[in-house]
Parts: sequence; C-alpha cells; structure tokens
Amino acid sequence: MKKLSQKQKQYFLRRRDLHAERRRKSKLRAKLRRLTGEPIPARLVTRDRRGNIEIKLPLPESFSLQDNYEKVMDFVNCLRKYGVQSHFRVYVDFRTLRYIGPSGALLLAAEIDRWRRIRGFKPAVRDLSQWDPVVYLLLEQMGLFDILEVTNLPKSLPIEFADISFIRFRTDQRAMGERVKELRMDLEELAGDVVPAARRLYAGLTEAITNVAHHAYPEDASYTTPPIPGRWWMSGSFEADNRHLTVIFFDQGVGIPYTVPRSHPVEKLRGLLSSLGLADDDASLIRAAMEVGRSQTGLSHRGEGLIKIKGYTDDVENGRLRILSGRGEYIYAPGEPDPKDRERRITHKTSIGGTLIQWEATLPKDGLR
Amino acid sequence: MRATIDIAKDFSDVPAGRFVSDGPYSGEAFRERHLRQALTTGQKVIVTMDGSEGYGSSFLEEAFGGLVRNGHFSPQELHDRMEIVSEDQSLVDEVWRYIDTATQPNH
Repeated sequence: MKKLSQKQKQYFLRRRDLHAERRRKSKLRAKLRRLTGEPIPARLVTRDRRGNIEIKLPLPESFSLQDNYEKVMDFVNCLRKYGVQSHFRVYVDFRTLRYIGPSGALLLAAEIDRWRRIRGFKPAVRDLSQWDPVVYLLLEQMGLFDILEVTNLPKSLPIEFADISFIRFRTDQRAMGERVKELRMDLEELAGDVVPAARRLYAGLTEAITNVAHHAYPEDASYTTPPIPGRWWMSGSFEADNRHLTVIFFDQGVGIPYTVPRSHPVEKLRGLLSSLGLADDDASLIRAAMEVGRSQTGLSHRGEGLIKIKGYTDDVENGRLRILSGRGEYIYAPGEPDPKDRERRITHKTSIGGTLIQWEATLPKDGLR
Repeated sequence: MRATIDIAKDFSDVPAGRFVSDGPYSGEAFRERHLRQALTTGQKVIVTMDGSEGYGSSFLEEAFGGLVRNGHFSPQELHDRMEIVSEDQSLVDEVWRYIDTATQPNH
C-alpha cells in the first residue's frame, strides 16, 4: 500500500472531522425535528467557542414592525420555538441588527424576558464589539440589559448619538399605576415638556393593564408558547427633531380576535361587522371591539377600555393609535387630511402572539409648560 | 355635616385596576375602604377627583357603579348624598353615567 504524505494525512483527517461534525449536527437536527415537529435549517445549527452545539438566531437587519413585520415575526417565532418551547442552547446574534424601532424593541425585550424567566437563566452578552453602536446605545437606554440581568456587560460603553431616545422598560403582572406614572415622568424628562393629555394617556394605559389582568390570559386557552400569566411590558420613546412621542404597551396573551367572538353571539358579531362594512378577519375584529365597547364579557359595565385607549388619540396633536393583535393591525389617525387614511386595517401572514398597542403624539413647538 | 374624600390624598394618586386582586389601588378597594363607609354615615359626601394621575374606566365603574350594582345604594340616593368635584367636567359626567346606568340587583 502506498504511504500517505503528511499533506494527504492532514487532508483525510480534516475530512474525517468534517464528516463527524456533519453527522453530529445531522443527529442533533433529527433530534430537534422530533421534538419540534419541524425541520431545523442547517444554517441555524452552529457551535459556540467551547464547542457546544447551539441554535443561532440572527436578528433581521431592520427590527421594525412597521416596515419589516414578517421577518421580525419569523425571528420572534424561532426564539419562541427553540428558546422558550424547547431546551436548546440559543444564541441571539445581535451583530446583524442595524435598526430597531420602539415597538420592535419592546417586543424583543418582552420575548427575551419571557425566555429567561421561563428557562431560569441569565443571558450573556456576546460579540459586543461587533454590534451596531447606535443599536447598542438604544438597547442600553431602554434598559434591556438591566431587565435581563446580563452579567458580563463591559464597563465602558460605546458613545454614539441617535435621532431617537428610548426610555426604560417597565414590566409587571399587576395593575400598578405607579409604573405608568414613572413612564410619564421619564418621558417628560426626556422631552423637557409635559406629556400632552397625560390623564387621558394614564387612563388608556391603566385600562390596557387591567384588560391584561382580566382577559388576556384565560386559563382555558391553549398556548403554543407558554405565557407568563398576567405579565405586560411598557415603554416609550422621544424624537427631539420633530418632538414626536411614542408610548408602547405589549402583552403575550390570546389577543383581541380570540376574545371578541367568545363574548358575543355569532349572529350579533356578524351583524356588527356587516353594518361597519368589515370582513371577518383579525383586523376587523379589533375595530369591532372598539365599536362594541364590550370587548370581552358582554356585560354592560365592562369593556369601555378600548374606547378609553382610543380616546387619547383624539386629544393630541398628530395623534395616532396602532393596535396589533393576532394577525390583525388597526391604525387610527384622526388628524390625517385624507379621510381614507384615518382608519386602516391590515391582515398579516403571522400572528404577533399577543397584543401590542402604540400611541403617538407630537408635542407643540412652543411647549405645553 | 359633610365628609370630603380627596382620592389622590386619601387613597392614591395612581389609582388603577378594577378588583382588589388587580392591584393595590383598585376601584373595589377605594369603594370598600373609603366611599361606602363615608356614605353609610348619612353625611353628604364630596369626592374630589383632581390631583391624581388619571382614572381608567374600570376603576371608575367599579368604584362608583359598583355602589349600585352591589345593592348598596340606588342611583337616586347617590345623587342626593354625593357630589363629584373635578375641574374636568367630562370626568364628573363619566362617573355619574356609570352610576345611572349600573344595573341594580333584583330584590
């Protein structure tokens, strides 16, 4: 038999190792497939620096629910499937992220928060030097690292400037008006001005919180991803250039399209949808829930919450309300010059897996103080 | 004789939630710990609404509408015995709307 050269030996050893690695990954993917019921793309299965196999989930370049909804939800659903529902090591790769909006940021924080609470671990920041510095700054402003109890955060932070500033997240499982007050105070400190129609905003936010306690997490519902019953998340942002204020609220419950049909006779609901010229889809059900004012219980003294939530938008300059629930999106912008643009409904391919409410307003240039 | 309840000072400036189980400063808590007790003394009760961060509809309905729904008072009795004070007239109107439209229990 011909003797192998050193070079040939090294070639065959590398090939052997490569085949062994492929077999290990293939076995892992088969195991993952048995557990999740779906094939795992090979590109997601990698090794960390210590050689442990993990699922790598790169964030989309733009984490914007407005401009990139489906790709954002693809990522979120992967995190839910592999991180929360299963017991795999997951690496969330922030290096690919170049833009994050305030509502996307809150959604991301809530999903990571659920992941670490349910799995009982402390996520470690990795490859920080390769993160986009503005993204890092915004995530640090919003308190993502505080809430997640990240342990190996470097002491010095990159210094960058962004057009927008985020305020720290709040999260709780009870109707805590104190959290809403803190949010308002943070916004006012950031804006250097009072929040317009602050009492109306407080009413809307506390109603959203109360709705979560009563309706968002019914015990008899089945959940694809286990929720943390009663938990909600809240945040905000301010853009100094155009004095634009945003407040966002999110829960991971069953969503308005789930609860509305269960609290009204089918014939009544269909009649209402028909009278409003609406189809029987998630976005229309969000709209119908506001009209009915009895979104859950069918009792005359319950369910004005969504009306209160909408009410703030009418009282402020450039007021805009956006509700994402199930696969539906409802946008209400009473100040739009074209009446056709004052209310819009969108049906997405993917459910958001909860309810997200976003209020927007513009502070007057001469201030309110 | 009159009794004055200043919600922000006597109860909380951050009222939120409907039931006691919702949170520490719910509508039910306000009704049971402050409002109902003051009304049962027979005095005229003045409820001052200003000074708080605001009021959600669940809080207001449970606090005030609950007085009628739970059979403690009729709407007319409350109109006779209670006065709601606020610089925001729409808030005053909202409170009375919950009282006037609350369903009384069958006797």
